[in-house]
Amino acid sequence: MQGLILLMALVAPCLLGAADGEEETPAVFFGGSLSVGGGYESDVAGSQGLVRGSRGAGDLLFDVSGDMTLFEETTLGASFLYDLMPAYGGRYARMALGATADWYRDLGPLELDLGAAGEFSLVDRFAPEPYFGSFDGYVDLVIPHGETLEWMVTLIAAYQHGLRDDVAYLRGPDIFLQGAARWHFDEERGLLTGGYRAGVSLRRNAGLYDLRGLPERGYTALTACNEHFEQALFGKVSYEIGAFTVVGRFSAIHRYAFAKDEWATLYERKEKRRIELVLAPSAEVRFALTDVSEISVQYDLEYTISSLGKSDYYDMNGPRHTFRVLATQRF
Amino acid sequence: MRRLMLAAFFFLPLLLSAQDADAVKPVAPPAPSADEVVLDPAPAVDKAKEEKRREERKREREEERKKKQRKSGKGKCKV
Repeated sequence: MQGLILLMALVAPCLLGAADGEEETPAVFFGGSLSVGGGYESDVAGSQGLVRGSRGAGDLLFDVSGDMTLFEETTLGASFLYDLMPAYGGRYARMALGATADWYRDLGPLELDLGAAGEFSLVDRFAPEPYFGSFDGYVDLVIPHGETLEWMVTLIAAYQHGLRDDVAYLRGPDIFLQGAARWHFDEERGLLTGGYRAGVSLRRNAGLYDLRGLPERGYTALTACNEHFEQALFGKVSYEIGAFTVVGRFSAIHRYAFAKDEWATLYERKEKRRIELVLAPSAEVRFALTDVSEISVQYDLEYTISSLGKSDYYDMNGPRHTFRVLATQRF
Repeated sequence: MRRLMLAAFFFLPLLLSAQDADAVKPVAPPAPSADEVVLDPAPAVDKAKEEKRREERKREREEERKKKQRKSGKGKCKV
């Protein structure tokens, strides 16, 4: 017993000293945002797999998200999006529910960020039906280099699952590796980012009835490959000028299908590999009304140059414009 | 003897921690010798900047996610 007391008498100061040296108990933080706005998309019908028809539509958007940060390292979040698109009888109006989790650790010479997100979306304003379920996970490695430069390596793994009958074939994984450099200039007012991403996207083949309007136009068979290699160069510059922040983005995406698409009419049978180049510039201006509220105006262009053209079952070529105005309140 | 040990158990930590506060004094780093080559370390990013950049990355990730989410349809890359 005496020995035990003596041992505790010797060890206790060490234990107390260790407790004194610990950092303060970290707090729990809550945050989030609410965005309301609207815009116009020039190619809604095309993006829905409608081969022909009127294409553009306006929408009204309501987007709310919240998160909770625990011990400064773990963040758990949830989001809800309602995108009301009155055109087409409201059948492309969407709701999406999402959940995110993120864990961050500063390892001294580098920073590690692990995260995962899940999303469930519904489509159709009057009879909401499950549309897509998706999940993605990422590993970010940030390597600071001096005061203004940092390198970033990201591994992304994702899975998408088409739930409604017309998108049931869109099921499968994506895996991407991305490298980027980030330069903070002019005393943190400006940020220039540039990088490269490469990976594969694997979905099931599309058949004749997966695209609306093909049988009506005389097609009798279709097997379209939705497995492709993708690589992209991307860049972004943002700069704060008083209450304004100007953001410019650009990406050039190249996709190469793993197999040729095959289709037939009563008169001919054709096959062709789908190869795409997408050029996507974007501009955004944000105006900060207060520290926690802002109005943003954004324009995105996506121009697709595809090996599938007018003489094929689906002309993938052309632009897609998106214009959006949003008011955001952070809390 | 037992009482003495018990007293030591309760008071020694307090005494030692009080002593520590007086005893621990900053020690100056040893000066490099004349023939020692000292490399300038890369200037470290301060904590506030690091925190701001982390917030910025988090915001960018969120924006990317929302941008994808707000985009209607199944995407032009999929037939």
